[in-house]
Amino acid sequence: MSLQAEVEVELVRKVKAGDPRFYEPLVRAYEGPGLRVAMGMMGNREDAQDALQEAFVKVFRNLSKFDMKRSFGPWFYQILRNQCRDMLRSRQSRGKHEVQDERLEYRPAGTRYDPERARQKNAAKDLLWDGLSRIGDEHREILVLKELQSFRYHEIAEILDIPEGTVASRLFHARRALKDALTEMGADYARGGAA
Amino acid sequence: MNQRISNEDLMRYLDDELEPPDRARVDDALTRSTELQRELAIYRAIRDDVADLSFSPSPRDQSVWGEVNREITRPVGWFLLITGSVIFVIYAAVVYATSDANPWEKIGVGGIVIGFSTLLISTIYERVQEYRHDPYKHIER
Repeated sequence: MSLQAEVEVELVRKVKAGDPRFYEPLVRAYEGPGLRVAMGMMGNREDAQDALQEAFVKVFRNLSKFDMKRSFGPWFYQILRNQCRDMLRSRQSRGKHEVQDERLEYRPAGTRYDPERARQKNAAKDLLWDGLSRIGDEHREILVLKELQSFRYHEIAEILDIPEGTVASRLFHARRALKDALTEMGADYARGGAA
Repeated sequence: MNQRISNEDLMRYLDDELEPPDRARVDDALTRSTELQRELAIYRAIRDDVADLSFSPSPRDQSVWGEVNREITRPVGWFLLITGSVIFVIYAAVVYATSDANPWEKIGVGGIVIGFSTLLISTIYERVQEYRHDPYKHIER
């Protein structure tokens, strides 16, 4: 579900004016892509849903400070990203291990389901997830925004509050870090694809 | 790395973020450098593999709206409850203090109310302290 820009502006205006009933369509519109970003950053569905829920509450409570000249989307993702980072820091300080069993999963896209191929694909996905968990939060977040959510550079710059020129540089370092982590784990990207 | 093409330009090329003249420049460099081609192929493969990580969308009943709605409406509920209680207690105290009831009756009822309130508040306080200092509160059961 996605909202037209003018509908979104109107909904935000109404919630800002003090009518929380209009917040529901905004939550419904953003929870799908938001969960995807949060899962990419947190590594499991449960933590991702907690982060998403908390981010929506923070968005609501801070809506009075929201500048209507800005787009709601990047502002929401900025708050979600900060929430994920806070929770990751808190998780690291508690020494909680990541739950590996319910991450983004491989979904067969072809017309015929091949179990062996699916198994190999899932193994490749697991490897990729391990690689993502080994790189720093800063690298992971930019990869999640670019690859999982397909944001353009100017949108990423707004969400991460960095100059647009820095996005390409950060993406390069993040991709290189992931490549190094995957190579270290035995994946072969030397010919332009994992083996 | 090709000297004319920076890492950042290679990323912009890969993500289709370059202006046509810059894109043509990278295309040109790619035709002349197999090293650059190889590097681009590696990053393209990584990008495609990460982008391919998909997940089944959560069903409607897993929407976070219910929890969010509770969180945002709860403060309003607390505010109304506390405000209403304070008004009621003040009103009751004034009515009670100005009533013609027997003084012994007033002292007895006052003792019961104060005693009950003290017990309730101290129990809530203990529970809150217990929760705040519980080292296992983050453990999921």
